[in-house]
Amino acid sequence: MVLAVGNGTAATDPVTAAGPAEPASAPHAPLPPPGFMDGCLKLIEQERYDEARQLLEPVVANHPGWARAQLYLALTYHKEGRYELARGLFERALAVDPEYHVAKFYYGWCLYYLGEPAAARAMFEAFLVRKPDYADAIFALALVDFDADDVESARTRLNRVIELAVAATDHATEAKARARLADVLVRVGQLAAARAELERSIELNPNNYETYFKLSRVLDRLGDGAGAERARQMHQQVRQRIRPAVGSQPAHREP
Amino acid sequence: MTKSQQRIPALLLAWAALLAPVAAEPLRFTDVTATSGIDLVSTSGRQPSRDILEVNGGGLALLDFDRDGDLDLFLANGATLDDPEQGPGSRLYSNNGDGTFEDVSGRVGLTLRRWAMGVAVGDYDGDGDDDLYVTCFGPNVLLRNEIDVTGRFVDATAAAGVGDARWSTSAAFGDVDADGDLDLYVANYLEFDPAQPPDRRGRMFMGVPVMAGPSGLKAQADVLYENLGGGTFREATSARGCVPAQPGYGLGVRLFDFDRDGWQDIFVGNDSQENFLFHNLGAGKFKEVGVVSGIASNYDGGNQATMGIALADVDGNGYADVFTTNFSSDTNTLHLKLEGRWFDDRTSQFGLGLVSRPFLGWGAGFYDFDSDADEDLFVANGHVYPEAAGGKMDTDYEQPPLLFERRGKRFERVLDAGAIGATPYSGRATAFGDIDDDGDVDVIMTTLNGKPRVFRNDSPQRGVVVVELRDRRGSRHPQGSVVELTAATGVQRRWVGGGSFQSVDAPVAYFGLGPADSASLKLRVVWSDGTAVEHSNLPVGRRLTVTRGSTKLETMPLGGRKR
Repeated sequence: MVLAVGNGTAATDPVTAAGPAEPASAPHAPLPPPGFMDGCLKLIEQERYDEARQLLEPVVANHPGWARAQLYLALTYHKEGRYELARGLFERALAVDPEYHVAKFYYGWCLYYLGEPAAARAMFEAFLVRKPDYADAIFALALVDFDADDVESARTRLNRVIELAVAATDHATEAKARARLADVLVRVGQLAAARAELERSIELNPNNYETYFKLSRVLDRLGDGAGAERARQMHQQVRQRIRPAVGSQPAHREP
Repeated sequence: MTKSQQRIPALLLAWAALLAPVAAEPLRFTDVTATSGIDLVSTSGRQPSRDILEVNGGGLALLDFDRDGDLDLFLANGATLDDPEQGPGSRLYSNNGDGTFEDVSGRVGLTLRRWAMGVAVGDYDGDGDDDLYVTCFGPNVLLRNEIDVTGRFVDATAAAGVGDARWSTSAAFGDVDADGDLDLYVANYLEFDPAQPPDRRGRMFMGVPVMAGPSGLKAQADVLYENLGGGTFREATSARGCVPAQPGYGLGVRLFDFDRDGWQDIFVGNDSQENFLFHNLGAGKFKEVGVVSGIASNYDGGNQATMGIALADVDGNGYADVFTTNFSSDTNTLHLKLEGRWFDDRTSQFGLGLVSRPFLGWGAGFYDFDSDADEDLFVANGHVYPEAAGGKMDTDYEQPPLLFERRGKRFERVLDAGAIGATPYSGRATAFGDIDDDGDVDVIMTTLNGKPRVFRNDSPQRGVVVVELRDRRGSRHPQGSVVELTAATGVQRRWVGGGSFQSVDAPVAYFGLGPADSASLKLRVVWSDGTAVEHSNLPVGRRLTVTRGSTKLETMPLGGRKR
């Protein structure tokens, strides 16, 4: 199973990769039937968050010592982008099981989006102790580095993500890492190299409209106005295909 | 501390404390609202807000309307949806010379009761005093300053032809055609009928039902007025080329020369849409270059909900960089001006990125609050959705301002600077200036349906140089001028005139000095038409006055105006 998280897509699902399957403390109510948790996860995967919450909330209430249930309920909010509501559940999952590394991974992204990069870094680093080659966590740390203006560390991490993604033939992860590597290259003034990364990123994932925009900016600065205009048009076309146009959105823009 | 921060586990807090800088934070502010004499509790519809007209709040301006040398205060005040034309009224406060104020609205004939939003200040008629242009929901109002003749402000809207009847937010004066008088740009927002507010049904943000807009509502086009002299203007938006592909939800506007070609350009911050940058091609003919220049959106092409605008030369390359405040769950944005015509989103490089995600920003300003030769940053915050209370939207309804101190190459948030730190407000517009004449920069921040907060700067001060500009006839608001101070540690630059969101800052350049900066100071003033004057061997700790067309430099001691 694959779960899209934060800025990218996990190469493998860390939720099922590890984590306590049973409550850490003795239940005071019957456990859900076999397959229940997998069913909840499937609902989350299908973006049916309300339904998943309805199933998970009584389980969490009845089994507060079950870290996995806390995590799944947290994910119903996290995947909706409601990070503050997810935060407390992640914390409870980690309070129940401080070694629950999967919860650390998601909590890291949650903290990142809540604007707490230092705390997010701590979570990702803790996760990587258990899963040192997990591309999305390395990618996350690259973003934290970039926010801290540590561009060399960001570059190193992104190159490692690309290496892992190539080895796994994971085009989505490679595409996003190359697009972010282009950000680093732009920051240090290496525009031609940035252009190459962006063009490769678009080959790998032509649906990422943000990459076309970044390419337009680089081409403008490289003096290729016509190419920049074409990239801008692609940005608009792909964005309109992927996201509703401005004006049909319900309220203020969500990132 | 926000509620969300309170929930960080103790372990994380301890970890974060290890990473926190150990240096003392010298920035210090005291909330002196209670003793300031400012008694206005603003009105902006209902509390809690239910419609978009109610959420922007009122703006403000620091100006010296009576030319007595201190900074007076204009506060734009709103009304209610059931009678947008008859609110409690805007206010003008005269400074007593010590940072306390007296309401003189009645005495000077200020009877504006329409739902006022923002304000621009400039001497549009060239008689030497500063006039007020008040943006409103409904016809805007031009108040001509006749204090020295009749002791009053006079409504000159009709005669001047600037009564745009749409919902206007921010406005700015500037001489875009370099003919010696002030033109006027007005940012307009959207169509709204108080009698029939847009349907809230189906409007959601982060899973919570909220008010309607701006998306889905019709944007209203901005307007450029060309000053014809003799106290009259003509609408010249199309004729001058200030026509974007689509009208925007305009919230902020700033006139400045972004490419240093000697012509005033126009930057417009739009809500949820691309920002506009009207490049002045010469003689006041414009071309919109927002997207191509890179300032229209953030680094990945995302349109942001731009509210406030602040200018500073953050990287010291001589150009004005543009900081914009945005919605929550997004970051504020620092558009760094590169060589050539390019801007680049460098928010994270300077430490202003992720830290701003929980906040919805409004007015902002770069000022050297601790006079250590670099500019710090203040951002007013507060959410538009009352439903944000309780953390349901990864934020809170009331939010503390963000105060950043410049430390080396980065800005670092200061969590405890006395009155600025943990206390949350429904912050909106800001104005910056030395209201108590002690040489440092104080902050006034309006709040939604509340009193404006007056934050007196009590930070330890080092050497300062304060530069005031006068136009030929004595106007204190020489729009679009740039003041450069050269010292041993480098060149500092200030863009004088204008404000951030519905506001006007004091038209004064405040400079702090480094430890070795007191010798051989040089001052250069570049007026809005590109002409310049230089002075050298400046005294420290003085207020310097430079008058356009004169080579004379007037000096007076700080604090010399206190009565």
